[in-house]
Amino acid sequence: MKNIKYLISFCFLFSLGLLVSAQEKEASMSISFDKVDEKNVCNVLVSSEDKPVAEVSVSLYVERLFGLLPIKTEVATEENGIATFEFPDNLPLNDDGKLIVLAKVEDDENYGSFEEKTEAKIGTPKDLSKLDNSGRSLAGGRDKAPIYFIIASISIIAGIWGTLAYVLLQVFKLKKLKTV
Amino acid sequence: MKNEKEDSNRRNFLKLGLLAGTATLTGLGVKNTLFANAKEETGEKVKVLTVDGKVVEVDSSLVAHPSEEKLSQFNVREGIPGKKFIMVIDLARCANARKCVEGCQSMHGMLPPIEYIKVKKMQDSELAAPYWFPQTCYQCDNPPCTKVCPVDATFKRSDGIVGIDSDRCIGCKFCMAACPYSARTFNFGRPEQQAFSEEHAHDADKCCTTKSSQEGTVSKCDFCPESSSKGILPSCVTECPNGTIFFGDELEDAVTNGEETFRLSELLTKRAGYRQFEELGTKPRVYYLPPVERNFPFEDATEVFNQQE
Amino acid sequence: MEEKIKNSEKTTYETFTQEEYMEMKRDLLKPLEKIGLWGKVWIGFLVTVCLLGVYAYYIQETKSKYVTVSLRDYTMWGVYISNFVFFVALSLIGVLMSAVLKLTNFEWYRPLSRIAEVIAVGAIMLAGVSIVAAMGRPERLWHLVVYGRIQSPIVWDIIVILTYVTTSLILLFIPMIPSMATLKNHLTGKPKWQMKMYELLSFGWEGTEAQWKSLKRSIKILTIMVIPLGVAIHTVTAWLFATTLRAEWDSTNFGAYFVSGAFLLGVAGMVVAIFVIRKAYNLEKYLTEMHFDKLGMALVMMSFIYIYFNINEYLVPAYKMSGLHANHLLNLFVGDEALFYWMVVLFGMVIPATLPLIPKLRKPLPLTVIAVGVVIAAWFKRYLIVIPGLAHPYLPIQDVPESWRHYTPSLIEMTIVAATFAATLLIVTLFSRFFPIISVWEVAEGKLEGKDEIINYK
Repeated sequence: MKNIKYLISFCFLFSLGLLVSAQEKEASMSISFDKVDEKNVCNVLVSSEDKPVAEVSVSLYVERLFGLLPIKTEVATEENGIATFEFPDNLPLNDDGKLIVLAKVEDDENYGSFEEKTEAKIGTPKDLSKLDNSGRSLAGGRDKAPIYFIIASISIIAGIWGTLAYVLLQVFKLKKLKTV
Repeated sequence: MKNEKEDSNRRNFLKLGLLAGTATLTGLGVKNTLFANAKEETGEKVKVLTVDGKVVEVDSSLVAHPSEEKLSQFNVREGIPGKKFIMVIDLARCANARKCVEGCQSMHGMLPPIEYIKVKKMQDSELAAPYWFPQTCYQCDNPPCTKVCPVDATFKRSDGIVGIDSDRCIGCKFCMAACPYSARTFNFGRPEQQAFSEEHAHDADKCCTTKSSQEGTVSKCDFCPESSSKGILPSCVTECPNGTIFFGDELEDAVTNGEETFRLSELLTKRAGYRQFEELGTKPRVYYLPPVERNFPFEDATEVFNQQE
Repeated sequence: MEEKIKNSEKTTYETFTQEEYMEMKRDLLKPLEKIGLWGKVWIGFLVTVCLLGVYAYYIQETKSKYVTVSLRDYTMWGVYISNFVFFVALSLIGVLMSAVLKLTNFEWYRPLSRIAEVIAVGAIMLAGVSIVAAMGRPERLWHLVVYGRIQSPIVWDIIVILTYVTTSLILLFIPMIPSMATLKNHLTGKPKWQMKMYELLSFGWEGTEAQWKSLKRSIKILTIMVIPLGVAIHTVTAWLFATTLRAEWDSTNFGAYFVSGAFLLGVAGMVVAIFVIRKAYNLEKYLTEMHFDKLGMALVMMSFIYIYFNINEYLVPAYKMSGLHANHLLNLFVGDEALFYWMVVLFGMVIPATLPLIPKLRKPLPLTVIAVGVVIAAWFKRYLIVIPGLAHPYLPIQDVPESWRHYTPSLIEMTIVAATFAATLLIVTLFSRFFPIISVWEVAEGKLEGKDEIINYK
């Protein structure tokens, strides 16, 4: 009894597996970069069982902090299984000097969804100078006041308070000016 | 445009992301407290999520209040390293759904009428078309508010955010007078708000600013940096049903509304992005895309939201 | 000038033995001898108002400010700040009525200078109190010392206020040293501690030539220094507004506009003060009709200067009526605040600029009535500078509760404001009960030098 149940469920799962594999074949992608006429090109080769696959629409993204920045979406692979993307050379690189490039195939009728990630070093380094707010300015922190400002304030304050101290000193000296 | 189903899918996905993010935060909290000084055990077990998504049972004494934990980890005076946050608001997409306002209020534990993000009805002239104008703190690069602060309680961080140190603020309100955008709000200790804040002070899903906005100090939109640094978008961005608000890192040259991601430079060039009151020289970090070719016709709001004192 | 100093060197304390001087001394020391019933009632009243203010402040700080104070996000600066500006303006009275007149050899300054300086000291102290009342976190005042940013106009203001308080106190005190000796020698029937205080504060004053020389030199240094300081204190206060980007405050005119307003208020305040003091202490012989006459003329002059700056401040932007200013200006000229605004113009500028031109209206009573109008208008003028401007920001105020749009000071706020007034008056009153409110030696000196303009005025 138990065996039969086991057998039935096995058969069911097996046939389901067959069904699925009949619909969606295994496919994979490989991403490579090239230079054509001074321009960066990203080639995504889609292959299944070592054969290139045509007419699969591939989207290419670059990973950013909050999501995937599309380079171009839905580019169909050609006869040789390659989808060609013009790849910009001015994307800011990540902190480690690389870009994480992601190729995606979504809901393809034969191969389903799959993706491939790779690293690329095409782009410009982050402009970290924009982070620098160490300069002295009126809007800066207390330790970042402009030098001229500090000098001007201190000299004015010192001048006035110095005079006040001098005058007070004179008051305390009054006693000495008594007739003896 | 996109149909409703897609929309709700997106929303669910985003909510999932948000949950995961919160779980991560909580997990971090647990990890830290486990190494912290041993406290008295209560014998009561609570379930918590760890960083890798496992549910574990620990003694409740080991779980610090997450908001306190987050606060202690998060130094408000320092910028998130290597980031420079920026926001783009597409006026063509805003239909005054007010979800950004509500999302923000819920995230920061604020009750109406306090709004860190406001949606205003603007009409530049009689013949010009009216449009909805969502407005946050612009985190200006030449901030008039930090200029006047007497105690360095509001300051420009390296990640572009204008932060407020509520422990230092003396409540002189000079920054509010200096802000030409009226972006700042003062905590006058409205009783309903005080009660609400107290009740929800330890909610795990609240931003740490819930706690940091103290009575008698100034607060404002802060671009939610502690979640932003972990790749979680501010809730005004994720809550918007129309994808009006884009957020990102200027240094990465990308902004996203959670669904669509654009190159910042291209978006601003193509859509003629501008900043509010450029002539004031404040250099805001929030760009607007003009309300052209709108997704929605302008409908005047019939409902008034903040009438209750 | 040389001549004068030589003269004064001869004017030793012992020189003042003639009968006239003794009489003068008797008159001026009289207020110190006994506090009458009305005096006590007056002090009692002031103390009560002050205590009410302290109680109001206690309520404000212990209960929610949303309930106790009518301030909201848009109008976040209310009467406390306008009151602060008023008191800073009032404190310039010391600069004008003592220093400027002294340096320009207007001899009639002599009986006025100490009154002016006491008011200045009291006013500037209460200006400080007003600021603390406006703070959200007054217990963090010390943050200004530990975290102070020199780039902030508030820090400038605090530095310049502290400097001005100190300078004013010293300038009040130094000319009082000979008076202390007079008190020590001539006042009788006072408690021991009070006599001890006079003795201590007289710093061994004997009126020797060297002492006079030193004293006069100190006074001169301070008198010169207090003028730029006074201008600075009110200019920096104006900058608290002018350094913001708000259209209605964004004015290069603001410093001069505030200072000229302060001088007008100073003259008016002086008229009211001497009217009360001469009546209360029977000092008609020293605070003469001549003083009212001169102050009446000064009032006209200051009014015209103030009107000039007001034209620059309001009518020039109004001529252009740019979008940035239109909201605020129209609101003042023809909008909600119009009645308020034009009353202030009438009582605060037009009347003091014209009516005292008639000699009869420069007599004590009518001039005092005019001056009281000026003082009240001056207070409301500061209100109109601070508050309506805040209610008209660049971006429209939308979708907020009604109380966020319109600010009306709460009872708590008004009580505290009333208490600041009471406290200033209390400082002046108590001072006049312990020290001669008119400088005996300065008046006598003027007389000895033959500058009898003071006494012989017809």
